[in-house]
Amino acid sequence: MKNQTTQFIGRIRQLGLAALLTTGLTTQAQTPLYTGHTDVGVAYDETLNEWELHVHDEQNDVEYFPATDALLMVKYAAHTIVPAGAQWSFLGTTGADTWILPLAEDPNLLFLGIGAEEIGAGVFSGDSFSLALKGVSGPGQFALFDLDGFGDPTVRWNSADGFTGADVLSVLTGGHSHFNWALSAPGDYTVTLEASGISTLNGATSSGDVDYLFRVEAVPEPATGALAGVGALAFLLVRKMRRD
Amino acid sequence: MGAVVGLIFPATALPAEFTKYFMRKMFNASSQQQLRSESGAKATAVQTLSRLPGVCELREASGLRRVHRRFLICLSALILLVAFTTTAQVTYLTNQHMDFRLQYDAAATGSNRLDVILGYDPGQRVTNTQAYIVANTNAQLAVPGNPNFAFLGYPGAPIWILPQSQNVTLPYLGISAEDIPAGFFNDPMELELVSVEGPGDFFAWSVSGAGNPPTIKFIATNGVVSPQFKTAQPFIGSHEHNNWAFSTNGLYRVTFRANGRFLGDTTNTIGRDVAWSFQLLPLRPWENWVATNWLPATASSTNGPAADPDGDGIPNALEYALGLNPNSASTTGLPEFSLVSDAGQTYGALTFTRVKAAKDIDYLPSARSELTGGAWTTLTNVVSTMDHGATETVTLRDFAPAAANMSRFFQFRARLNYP
Repeated sequence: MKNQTTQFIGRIRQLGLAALLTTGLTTQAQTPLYTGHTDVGVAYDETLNEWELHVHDEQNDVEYFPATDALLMVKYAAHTIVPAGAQWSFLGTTGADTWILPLAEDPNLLFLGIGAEEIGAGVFSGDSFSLALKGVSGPGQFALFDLDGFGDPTVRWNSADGFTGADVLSVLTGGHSHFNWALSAPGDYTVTLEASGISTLNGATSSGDVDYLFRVEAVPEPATGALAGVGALAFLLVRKMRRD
Repeated sequence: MGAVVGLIFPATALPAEFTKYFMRKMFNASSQQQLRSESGAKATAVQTLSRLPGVCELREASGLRRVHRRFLICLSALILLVAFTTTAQVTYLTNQHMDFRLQYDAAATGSNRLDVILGYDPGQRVTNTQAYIVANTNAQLAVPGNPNFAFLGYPGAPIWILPQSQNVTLPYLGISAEDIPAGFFNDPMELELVSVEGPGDFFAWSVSGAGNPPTIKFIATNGVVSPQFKTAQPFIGSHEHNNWAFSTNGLYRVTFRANGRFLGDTTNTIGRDVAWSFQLLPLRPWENWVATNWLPATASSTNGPAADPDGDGIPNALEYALGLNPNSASTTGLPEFSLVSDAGQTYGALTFTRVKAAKDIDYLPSARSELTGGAWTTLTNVVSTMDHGATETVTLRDFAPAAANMSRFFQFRARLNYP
């Protein structure tokens, strides 16, 4: 039910924004998200055996579906360099550029998590499902990693070493968690994910490939203002449609 | 630190702090022969007297009357305490995503406007007396060599951590200001550490990004909260995760409060103190008993070793040692004095219940020859042991036989070795 409604709104939103936005922008219909608590949200309708991988702006309680309606912005403020130590080699060579959306909230950056709050207990075997990194296209590499209590990484996804069984994250239903999201070069990325699990009703089930869009800023502010303006317009429109 | 509680025999219904009262049993027979013939009757008399302390011979340095008054108070308390039983549901949160959720109640007044509850997935909420946050033994790690973590102790020292990044076998604990409505407070809110009670030190910190030093939120060592590290600052509408660490296993009571600064104010509004209970497994036997007998977040004034919440004169540590119910006023099950025959001789003896699981209790039945002087000698001669499964009844006799014109004073003490 929610699924269909959201799809419908998504379509309206795309049309509306496409009409509204002026030319000259590389990305037409996306709403850029710069800051705030936002989740890669996973929902599943067991009656229809249908997955819904979306972007959930928790701060403003807005869902973007399809997920490509949102542009996940990695501001220049996320820029850092790969630290020394073998445990960090998965990010590149020591001293190389990297942009990291951090595990702990920085109010100046997007606070991106992975959420499955919309899936109830008992829907999936083990109350968990898999979220796999299937592909990354863009100017650099993409990695998702946890930190242990002492700040050392546990790599969950990494495009630098190909896409294998190692690029699978186990997600608990009913909850959400946060990670570090690392991208190695500025530019636009398409990150392809696939959710799969054993539905208690439907057996093995998969979402198929679902794209998410990231943009890494090369330099501090210039394009941000213009894009933020568009973002605000789009946001207002979304809000309006939500209310309608 | 060891807590010692004493019970001077016979102390039927006497408050435990009255360890200075002694009962004096005098043997007044003129010969061995007479003693033996009288001892049976004497023992009976003593047992009867011991249940009627108003009649038995009690002596103390500063006066006898107070004893009787206290005893009367105990009796009336006993009547009032009948029929108070707790059947509240306690939730053990072992591996969920959960957050301390800051609450704002505009209708409340004073510090009650800001509260701290616990929310856990999916969508459940509990108050501090309804849940234990429980970390299994796999929470135990070692402090690393990285100097950024020297605040936790020496490299290699054990440390129990509820991690910031989700481990599906441990509590995944955050701090949330998602329930704080917009437009009332300055951002961020504040969760302040007020106090830590437990067998070890307490820490919280977050890590983020790659190779960054930790952001330390809380430090409390030796029960003292660091003035520098006592706040976490969750953003309104958002939540944060931390590593929560304890320097040893055991039962902890950690008190927080939610603070916030109303828009336009120049000082923080301080919320009420809210204690949350953590169990870092394994619990020690005493902690296990405490966690079984009281709700989470119960104050040490109620469940501490020296407290006597049921007012029956038996402090908790002694109730624990003797397998009694600390929340039911009763003096049944206290050690008893008797005269026993062993190899043709008559001895004074103490009979008491020993709880097999109470490995952290030293049972110290003892005797001496003078009321106020001399050393207590711990009784070691076992007359009998009766097994009841979880408990056993033990009778230990005096070293020397009871003799004519001698006085012997008996004492029963239990020492709790905790932590």
